[in-house]
Amino acid sequence: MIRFSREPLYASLLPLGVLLLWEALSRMVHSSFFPGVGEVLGSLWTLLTKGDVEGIRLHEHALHSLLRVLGGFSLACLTAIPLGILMGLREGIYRLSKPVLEPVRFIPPLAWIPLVILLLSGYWRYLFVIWLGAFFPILLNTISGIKRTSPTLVEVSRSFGAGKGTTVKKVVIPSALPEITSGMRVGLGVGWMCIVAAEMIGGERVGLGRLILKYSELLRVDMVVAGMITIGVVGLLMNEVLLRAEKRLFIWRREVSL
Amino acid sequence: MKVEDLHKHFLTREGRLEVLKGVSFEVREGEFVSVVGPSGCGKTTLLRLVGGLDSPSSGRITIDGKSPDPSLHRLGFVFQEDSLFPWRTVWENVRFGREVRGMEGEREVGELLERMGLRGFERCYPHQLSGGMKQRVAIARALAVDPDLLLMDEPFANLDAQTRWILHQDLTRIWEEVRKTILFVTHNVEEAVYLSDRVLVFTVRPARVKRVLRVGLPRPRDKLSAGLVKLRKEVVELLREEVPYL
Repeated sequence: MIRFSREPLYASLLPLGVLLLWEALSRMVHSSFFPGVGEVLGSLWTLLTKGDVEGIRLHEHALHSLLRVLGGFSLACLTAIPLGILMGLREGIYRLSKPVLEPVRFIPPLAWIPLVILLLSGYWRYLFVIWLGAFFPILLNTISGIKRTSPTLVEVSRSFGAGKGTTVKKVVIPSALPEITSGMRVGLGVGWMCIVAAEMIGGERVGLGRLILKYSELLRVDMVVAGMITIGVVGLLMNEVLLRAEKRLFIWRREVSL
Repeated sequence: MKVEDLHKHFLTREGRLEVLKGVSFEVREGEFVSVVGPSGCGKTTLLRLVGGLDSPSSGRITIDGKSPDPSLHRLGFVFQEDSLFPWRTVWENVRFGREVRGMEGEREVGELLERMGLRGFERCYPHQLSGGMKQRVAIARALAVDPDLLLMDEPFANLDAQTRWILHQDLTRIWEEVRKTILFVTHNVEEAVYLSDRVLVFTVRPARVKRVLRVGLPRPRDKLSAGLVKLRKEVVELLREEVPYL
């Protein structure tokens, strides 16, 4: 994370420039498909106070999306962390599962959608798509965190007569924890980015992804952009909260990056 | 502790690598014994075998008549490199072995920290400590389990000369207080003769015990005293026979 706080002037310069450029371009193009800053801000305000065409307000959309993402994310943690620990400890399991996991990792959640529509229904659709996005960052970070445990620290533990289980509990997992946590942070971010894909097929009329899709059908670009900005801001806030938690939790580490 | 005709080889891509070839010696209870030898001669391997972290190809090691087993014997290992748990404070690091062994009592930990000159650092994390302080914590952690045998693998190799000097004095003082059996591996001749009751000089790989020297000087010792300097010279000459350019 670049520390902007020291130079608030410079920090605000770039966003300001982007806004100016946006506004200038929008005036030059002069099209209803290219809304200006003011229009989008107005749409955001409308969404917050009056709600969308169905009267669902912005924070309700955000809350629903958030709960879905947290559901999928929790599922991803519950599956990826134990599996990652196991695969990090046992080279054999890792090697065996690699030919299956590696190709699957590169199939984008969007490509899964037809299958998900056919096979799953209701809340499971959200869960699956978001789980898919969050799973791999968590799994891979957990594996590398476990594998990166210093052999010396493991020997220290052994030299005191600790068994395998005790060593894993007292040395391997604590030493991998920062990496697991940063995997969780990245996973949550990726899960959040899958929200539009998940809500494309979720069926319900509420959710930030749904909001965007709804207005894209109506060709209301200003509303679409308002929804996009909300997704971006909520994602940023989640990341910031987790980053701070990590810094507090892992005070013993010199730095937590990204 | 007794080592009898110890052999150890490793299988590498290039073939069989013989590291120890018939090493025999004995360490009495409460004795401070150093092992010096050319770099890469297998000193660390020996320590790992004695500590039960690895098993010999042939030969026997016995501690109080039994093969070394970390869950049976109380061993304290001090490593050359950074070996503290970075997520544990100084206090929690020193407690580690006691936790593993299910030993109660916080008082002993406090006393040990006091003795090692670590008072006031209890809540520090390892990254906040200097190299010398870290090794003090590592020594305290090893001593905290009240070990039958303390195994030290070049614990001061990464420290600057001054810090090392101070730690030599402190280790001597502490050893006189607690009278633990210590097997100390180093390539620093000065250190070996200053600290030990006896010095084992190893040959190049595959290593054997080349000579055993008894130091026999009263403590506290002076590093520049004629007796110690003479012994240093003797050890260096023995090592020169192994490594001519030394």
